[in-house]
Amino acid sequence: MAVRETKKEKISILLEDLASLESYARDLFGFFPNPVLLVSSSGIILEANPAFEKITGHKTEEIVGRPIEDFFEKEKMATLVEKSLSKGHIGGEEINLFDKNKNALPVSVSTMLRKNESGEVVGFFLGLFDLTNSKKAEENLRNAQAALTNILEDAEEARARAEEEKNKTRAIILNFTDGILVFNEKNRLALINPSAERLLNIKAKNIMNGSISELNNFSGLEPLTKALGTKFEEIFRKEISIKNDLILELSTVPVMVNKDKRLGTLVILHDVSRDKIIERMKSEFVSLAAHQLRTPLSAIKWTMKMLMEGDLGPISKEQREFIEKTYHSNERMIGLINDLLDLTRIEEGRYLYKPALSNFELMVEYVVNSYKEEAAKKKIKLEFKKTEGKLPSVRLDAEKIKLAIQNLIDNAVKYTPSGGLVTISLNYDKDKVELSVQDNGVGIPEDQQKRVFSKFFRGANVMRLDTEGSGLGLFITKNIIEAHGGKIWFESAKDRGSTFHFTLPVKTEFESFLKEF
Amino acid sequence: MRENDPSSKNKVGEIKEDEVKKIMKVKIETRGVVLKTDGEYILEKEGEKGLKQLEAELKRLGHPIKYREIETMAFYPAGLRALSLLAIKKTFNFDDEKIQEMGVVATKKSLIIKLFIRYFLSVQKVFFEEAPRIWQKHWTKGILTPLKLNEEKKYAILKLENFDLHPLYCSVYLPGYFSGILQMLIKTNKITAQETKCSFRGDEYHEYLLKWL
Amino acid sequence: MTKILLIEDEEIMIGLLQKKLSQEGYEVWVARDGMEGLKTMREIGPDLILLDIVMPKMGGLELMEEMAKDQTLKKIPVVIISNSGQPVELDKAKELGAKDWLIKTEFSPQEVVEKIKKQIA
Repeated sequence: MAVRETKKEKISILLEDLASLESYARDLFGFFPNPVLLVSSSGIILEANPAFEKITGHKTEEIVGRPIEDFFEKEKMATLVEKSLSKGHIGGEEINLFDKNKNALPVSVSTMLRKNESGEVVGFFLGLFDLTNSKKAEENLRNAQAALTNILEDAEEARARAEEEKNKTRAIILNFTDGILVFNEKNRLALINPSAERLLNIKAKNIMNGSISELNNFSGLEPLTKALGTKFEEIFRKEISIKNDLILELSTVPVMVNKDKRLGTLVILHDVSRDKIIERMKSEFVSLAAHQLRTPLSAIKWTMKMLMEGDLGPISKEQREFIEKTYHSNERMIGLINDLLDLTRIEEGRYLYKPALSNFELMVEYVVNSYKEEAAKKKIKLEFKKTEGKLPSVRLDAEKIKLAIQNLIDNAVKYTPSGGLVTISLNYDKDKVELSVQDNGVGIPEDQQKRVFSKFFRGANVMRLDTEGSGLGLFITKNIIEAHGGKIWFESAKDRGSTFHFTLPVKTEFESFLKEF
Repeated sequence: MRENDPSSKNKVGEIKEDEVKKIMKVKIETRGVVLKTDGEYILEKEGEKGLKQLEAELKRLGHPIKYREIETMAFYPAGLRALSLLAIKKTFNFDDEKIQEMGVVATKKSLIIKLFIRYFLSVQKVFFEEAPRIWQKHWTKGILTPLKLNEEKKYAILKLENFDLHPLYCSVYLPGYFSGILQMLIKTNKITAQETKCSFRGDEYHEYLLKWL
Repeated sequence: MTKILLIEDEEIMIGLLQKKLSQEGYEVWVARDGMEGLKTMREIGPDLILLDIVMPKMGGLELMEEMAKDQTLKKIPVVIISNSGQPVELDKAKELGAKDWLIKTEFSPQEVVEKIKKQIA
């Protein structure tokens, strides 16, 4: 009894152990999160763990007994099986696993051979690692890469376009006939084009990134550096002489961003040497022509005058008449020559001689005063209306403006009959000064008003009165005013008189300069 | 037991008390694994409710089985095994095909079979060497002998002697079981197994013919 | 008697001015170009010079430059009588010390006398 009981007890103990072992094995098997298969040497699945059931959606009975190729890409798995059996193990081979719904799941497969006690190969273990997530991550990464590449391509395209624009601008600057220098925000030379190199007789590489003081060390650049100064104040068409026969017109333009940030300064050098030579030649010609034409006329004038004044002896009344007529005729000739000479000088209008800040009021008063005598002689009242406040200073060519004022007052006095009134008045605002000359004389008929400022115009009604006058006066006056950047206009009615106005700007504007450019 | 026609299908009759007694008198013991696989199958296919139904039927028959408490390795009366199958057949109206399927599935879940897997090197080895041992592991009586194996012509013949349990088991369940094992050895889509000789039909022993494509 | 040096190359002008000026009671000396003028002014030391611009050998402006170098000469008042009247020239003349100027076609001999009287009594 004791032995049997012991035996029974032992059996019972063994059975308990078996049960525990079974339970342990099942738990482990069930827990293991990675799909594992046991495959026979002939490629039949002998065992599959719950994780494999889960990933494929199949039940154990649908898995065990089936060839392993049924669940994977057939050819690839056949290769892996062969490899496993010959090498003993494979690791991390990527392959697609097919689930119950025929979805392909990317997995990483590892295998290891299983041998029995005698060392015979009974099959192999196959473990899977689900790559779906990492594959998804991979795909996301690829998409992000593609998106990034797109962005990069777009950026590259934008950069290429900007580069092209930059190249275009660069080409323009390089080929510009005027010299161009660009100084950066630190007032160092950032760019110099070939024309500037040629004009200044300097090589870009020698002066690039130099400051003004450094540039000063190069011979021939002093006139430029002196004109620019250290702070690069705005310069508008300032003439500088680099060499005897090289005269440049210097202008600077600040390069601004958003109207308040200064990026740098653009310096433009315009070669006016030839223009200057031409100007000089013309001036010399005019001077010579003036002299040559006036010399005989002045001789005649003075002779006639002295004759009339009795400085050369007594003359008869009849002689006096003829001499007077000759005198007047000569005077007309002198006037014509004057007009023609003025015309030649200001035809272009560009080169105003020494425009300087002036007191316009004083200038007008001077001219008005010079007509007091003549007006008094004709019994015309001459009035000068000043402004209350002080007129702003105006940049002008004194000689020419005086000529313009003279012309207007002269016309007013000439074309107003005895007892009339000529009023000269001034006005101004922050942008300009204005002069008005009003008379109550013969006026300009409406059908002729359009041609008032044209060359050689004289109103038909005027010509009857007085055959003097070349008709160039207003044309020249208009040129003068417009060369100063001003405007000239008039109001008039036949037999009621005319009012002529002109304005002169108070400041030179860079925009108009640039527009010209 | 000649009254029972082993080839009858869909016979959902009451299990008679006499039958039960007769079955339980059989002096054979089996391993818990066979009952365990029954329970697992029903749980899977018919759910918790089904399992309860089955257990209720067995209780009614006087031989309650608590499937969850079955110890896989322990020994139990073989009669229980037969009763289990009968109760299942009756409760769920399983036909023979279904019972045979249970046999197939059992091979895949059986812990004892898993212990043999390391010997599943080839059909020959399993057939000739391991088959008898597999039987011995499961049953205290009966001898399973491999008679013939023709891999070329794709058939095999097995002999089982000294074993009488119930036609439902030996004629329906067991062929399924043999197919299941064969499936784990041969890559084939179709395996057929049938009992060609049966002791319940007057033959000396049971004989099984296995064929595959 | 007040000495006036007339430096002018135009014969008619010389004749007319001589007549007018002597009628006014001035002693008139004549030089027909800048070089002659320079020599003459050193010799006679005039009270005023009437100077033309365009002349052969040495023009009016060149002469004034020479006069500026001389301490005595540069004190002599100069009135420019010219027919070219270019602003450049007249400014230059003013720079060099000319006291007044006139353009012959704009002024009569009487007016010349008035200009002289403004400079010297």
